[in-house]
Amino acid sequence: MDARTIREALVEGLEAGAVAKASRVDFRGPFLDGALDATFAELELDSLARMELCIAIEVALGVSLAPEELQRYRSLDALADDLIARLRA
Amino acid sequence: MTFAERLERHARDRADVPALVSARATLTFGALVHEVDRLARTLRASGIDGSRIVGVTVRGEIDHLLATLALLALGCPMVALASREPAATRARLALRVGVALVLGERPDDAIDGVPFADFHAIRANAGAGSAVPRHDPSRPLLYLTGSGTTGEPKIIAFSERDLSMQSDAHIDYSRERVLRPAHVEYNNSKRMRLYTLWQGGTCILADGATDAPTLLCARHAVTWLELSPMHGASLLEATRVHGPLPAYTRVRIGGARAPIALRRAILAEVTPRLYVSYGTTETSFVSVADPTMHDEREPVGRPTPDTEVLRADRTRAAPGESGTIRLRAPGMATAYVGDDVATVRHFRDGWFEPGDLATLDVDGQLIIHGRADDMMIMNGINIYPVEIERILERHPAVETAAAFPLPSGVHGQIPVAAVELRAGMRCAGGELVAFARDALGVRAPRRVEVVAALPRNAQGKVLKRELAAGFARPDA
Repeated sequence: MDARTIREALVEGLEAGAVAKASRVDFRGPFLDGALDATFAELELDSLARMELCIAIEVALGVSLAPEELQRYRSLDALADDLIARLRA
Repeated sequence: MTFAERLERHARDRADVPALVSARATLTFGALVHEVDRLARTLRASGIDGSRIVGVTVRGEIDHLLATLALLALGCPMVALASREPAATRARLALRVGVALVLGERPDDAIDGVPFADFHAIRANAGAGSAVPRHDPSRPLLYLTGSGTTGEPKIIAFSERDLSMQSDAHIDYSRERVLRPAHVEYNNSKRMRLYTLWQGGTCILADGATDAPTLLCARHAVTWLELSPMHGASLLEATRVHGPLPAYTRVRIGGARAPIALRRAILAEVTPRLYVSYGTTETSFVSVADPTMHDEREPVGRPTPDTEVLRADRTRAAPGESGTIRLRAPGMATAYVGDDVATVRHFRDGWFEPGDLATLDVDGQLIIHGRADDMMIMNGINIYPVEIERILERHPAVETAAAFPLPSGVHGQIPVAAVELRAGMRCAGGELVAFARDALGVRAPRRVEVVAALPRNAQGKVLKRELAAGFARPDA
């Protein structure tokens, strides 16, 4: 599974949680290309959005994450990197 | 006794005890009774009384509870039209219950054809109007949505008398400080707050705060923390980041299966004071496993004698033998509103039969084996395959849809679906996910696969187990 597929799963999860930034054209494309990152603080995820992101990761990538585990990651890039590592392990 | 009378008693006996506590405000029982009375008077002066059913769309937890208690004081039937639900879902529920007025906060809380009252405008005027007359506590006032097999949640109506009996049969919260992070707009969260208030305990309200429960428990001296299994998993992570719960905080998990791995992890890392309970919307609390009871069977405690397990021939199962469970409990529902078929199916001879498979073991422990029907439960949310299928089949490209769960260690079950398209039509799964999400919100399928043909048996019935087994999981 390549990095772009993983990033697409993250964007879909954010969109499912109605995170406004995820759908913005100045974010979506650059993030999918690996040229832009966002911290979780910038994304302002509420509890529903965290749940949706974790569900999207599980459905798309088969990786189980509890919403609170997202606090481990500073940013989406850090999360994506960890998912890549897990899937390659 | 009505809720208003009960709260007045608490206001006399424990006026300075906090009733509602959030990050923004604290209301003692004395202040709560005062605020509820002021609001009830003004609602009444605004024409809101017991003559019509009110739909409540109020987001703030304290505001929502004030509205609920004021409507109870007026003898006014009500149903929560949760702000997180899509407008179409709220409108449908309002229609089914017979809502004649929406008490909301924003213009888009209104429902076409139903009069609207602005909660905050009324609250700003609170205190106007004359004293609230007494009413009959046996009248159904609180409409809740429960499980169902028709594709729509079933509707249950409880009177104040029912709620008082349920409260009295529940865990004793009279001296406790109870935090249930799930929002008050959710049925059982609202009811649990009412139990706590009825008993004279203190409701700690997260009220949208995203702070870890461990921090909230320490900040507000929470003695009972009530969670779904998903929140239990989150609690583990929060403990690793923020440290353990205060020693005085007990944790109760309910609403879905609590796997033994989760229980053991919580016992080892979070608190030795872990309780796991079983109940239904229709009967409320049934049983609770205390910290000494957790083992591989995943028991939910020893229920009262009014819990039986039946064989298919409706004779009582022997200890250790599985069957379908039936229940009786104080203040339980006796029918569904507007659904005679489901009422006949689930309420028989004074018992409620939820459709759960269970075992009463030789040591009296109740073990729940899951639903006898196909209902999915994701993070405590009941989701019905047929409601997903109906929505997907409204899409112009879809011929037939089949919804089923993907098992998840974190979320319980995640709803997904497979569809056959109409001849000559093209459509991507992502478009169908978005289509369903617009109608179903959190109950939508998280993945939709377009297949050439759904697997069927000779009678044409879609073989969902086959679908689920073949549903491609990503390489992990």
